Amino acid sequence: MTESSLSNLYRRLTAQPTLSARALLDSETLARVAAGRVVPSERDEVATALAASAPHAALARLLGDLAPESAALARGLAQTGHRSHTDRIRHGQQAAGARRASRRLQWSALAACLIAGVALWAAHTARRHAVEEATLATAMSAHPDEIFGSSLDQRMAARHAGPPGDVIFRTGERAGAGDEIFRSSFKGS
Amino acid sequence: MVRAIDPSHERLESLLADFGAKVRILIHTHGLAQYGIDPEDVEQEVRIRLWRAVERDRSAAFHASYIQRVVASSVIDALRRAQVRAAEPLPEDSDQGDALPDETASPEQSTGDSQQVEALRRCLDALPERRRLPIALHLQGFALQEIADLVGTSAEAARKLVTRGLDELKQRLRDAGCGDFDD
Repeated sequence: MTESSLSNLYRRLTAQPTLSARALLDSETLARVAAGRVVPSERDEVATALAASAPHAALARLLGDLAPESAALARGLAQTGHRSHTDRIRHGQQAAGARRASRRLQWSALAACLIAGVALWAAHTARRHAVEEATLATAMSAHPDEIFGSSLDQRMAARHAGPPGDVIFRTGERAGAGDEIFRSSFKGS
Repeated sequence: MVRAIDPSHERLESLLADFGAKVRILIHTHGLAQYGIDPEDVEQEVRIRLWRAVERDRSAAFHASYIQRVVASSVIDALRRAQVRAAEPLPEDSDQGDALPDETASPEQSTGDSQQVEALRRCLDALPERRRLPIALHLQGFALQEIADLVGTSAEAARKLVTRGLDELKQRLRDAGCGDFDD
């Protein structure tokens, strides 16, 4: 038997990890073991667990051998990440400039819409006033409707004023003036 | 399509591919495949986990210790899955021969190995406490400096403990009838 075969024999003996090894040897602890930075307070437990679990011991040794590769990868990722971060900042600044220009355009369009709306409203109001005034003027110039249209003065005054209003009771000789419901004439007939 | 022509993306893919290949080789080298884990699966898992971490925050600084933890957790998860698979009963016509006993070994050889394993256990238990742990760590493949770090002593003290402990262990195994040793 050689020392190597003795080692293989021992690894077969410890091929099944103990419960304490499974509980204690997590990724954090194994990374510390590989870096030679075991916490003094847990040193005995960690060493005993590693001695009792061949897979965890193999993993700890693997991590020790992998340390230079991990450091190189960390450096490579830092360079790649730095480049992409710079690119992202540049793209972000361009996007922010485009957003500002777009926002200015939106505000201009909104202001134009507002001005056009106010102008339309003002034009519409002015036209409505003009129509109302014209209607009022027409109404003022026309004869008022009468219930008893017997006043001679009124009739004389209205004769030259414009079209006559409707009359319900009329006494007099003014015939054919407007619509009449009752009419009495004093011309002897 | 945009990502395919992104130089930083290609660089990242190349970095992770190289690192994954190294992880796979080391898993083979350290004999972790004999515990039922697939080195290719672990390589893929490590690459995926690192890729996700990078995608989450590209501007973040990734320390070597973080990468080491990612590898360790991937291997530990694979070991647990292998143990669960080994504990499950196999179908009768299963061709997954990894978990089955070695059929090439004769019954006499298997019995002899079991006896040797038992003798080794007894001889180790008989060693003094202060020598037992350094010897066990040495048999697990740790270097003297690693043993010194784990036991909390100097490399020279660790060397003495291992040398004297090994001599005593070999003597006990000889006395137990486990054969002679070629130093």
